[in-house]
Amino acid sequence: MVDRELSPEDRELLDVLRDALAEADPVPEVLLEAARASFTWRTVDAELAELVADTAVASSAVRGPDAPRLLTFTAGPTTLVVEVGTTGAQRRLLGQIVRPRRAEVEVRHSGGTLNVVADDLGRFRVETVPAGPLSLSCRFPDAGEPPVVTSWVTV
Amino acid sequence: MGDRTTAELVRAAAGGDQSAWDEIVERYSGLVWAVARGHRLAHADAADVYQTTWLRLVEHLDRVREPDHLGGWLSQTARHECLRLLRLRGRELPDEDVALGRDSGDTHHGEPTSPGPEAAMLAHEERAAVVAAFTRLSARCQALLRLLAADPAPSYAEVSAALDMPVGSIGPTRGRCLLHLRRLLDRTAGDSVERNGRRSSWLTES
Repeated sequence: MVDRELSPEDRELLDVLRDALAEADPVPEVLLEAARASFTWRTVDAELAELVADTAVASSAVRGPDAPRLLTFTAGPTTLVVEVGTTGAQRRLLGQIVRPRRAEVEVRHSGGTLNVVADDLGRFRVETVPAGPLSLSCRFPDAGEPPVVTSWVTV
Repeated sequence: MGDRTTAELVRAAAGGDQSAWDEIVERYSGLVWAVARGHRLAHADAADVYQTTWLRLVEHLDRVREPDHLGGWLSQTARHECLRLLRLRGRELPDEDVALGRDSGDTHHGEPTSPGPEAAMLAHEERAAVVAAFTRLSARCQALLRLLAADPAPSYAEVSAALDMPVGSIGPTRGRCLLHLRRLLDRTAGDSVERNGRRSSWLTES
């Protein structure tokens, strides 16, 4: 606990601040509920594709401010590149699976899921998905190949 | 409840135990929210960071290497997601977006019940004064004090992970921030002394 070395006066002030912030800015109940419910997104059979690159956090000097955002996920030999376009509170996704191959893509967002198909060249497109947390799950036609699910990221 | 260690909860949740997950959320919700709200993000962005952080944990439950350091993992994950959104938003945010409570959309200032209405009102005013003074602190102080005031209080390691601040400078920085907060409160105390004819106990000079 961080309370060591605190003077009684500091401890009291921090206690008042704790009550004050709990009253003024509590964790919204709807978010608490969403956090509990997020457990239902648990996947046990899929391989996790970690986010390895995000142009939003790369040096902005390299890319213009209006360049689309590119997210890159990898799981073993599979790479997934997603371009994110913004229209207000909606996002448009253009995806590319490498090595290119067909896949059923499930788009998971805070409001639910959408399903699209990646073509033979591994390309897919999602016209509109709400801003917020996003994750993609890809299932491949080869039954022996495990599905890939991406790490969640805010878009 | 509350007698399972964090490591036990993580293992149980990784095995599919929803009640263990709920307990993890209860235990660290305040910390994750404090990190998100301490980064000068608009309320909606802080909400996204909070949600994304928990979703990340769902996926990483069986990959968290040191379950006992879960708080640090959550703090760091939330912080990185905050930095991502700050970059995405071009970093500059009007101060009013950061103002406390005002934009939370679900304020439920129910009447406090336990003490008499007068005492409760006074307590409410005291807390409002503390929040007003708090919002005038530097961003760094706000982020740190918000974390230290999270319930339950985080460990030094968790605070360090959330703010990317060396453990050794947490104590001294906390001291300076609390001193500054107390001075801001003392400055406004003159008014309340005349209005209320009393000085609040937390204004005591140390």
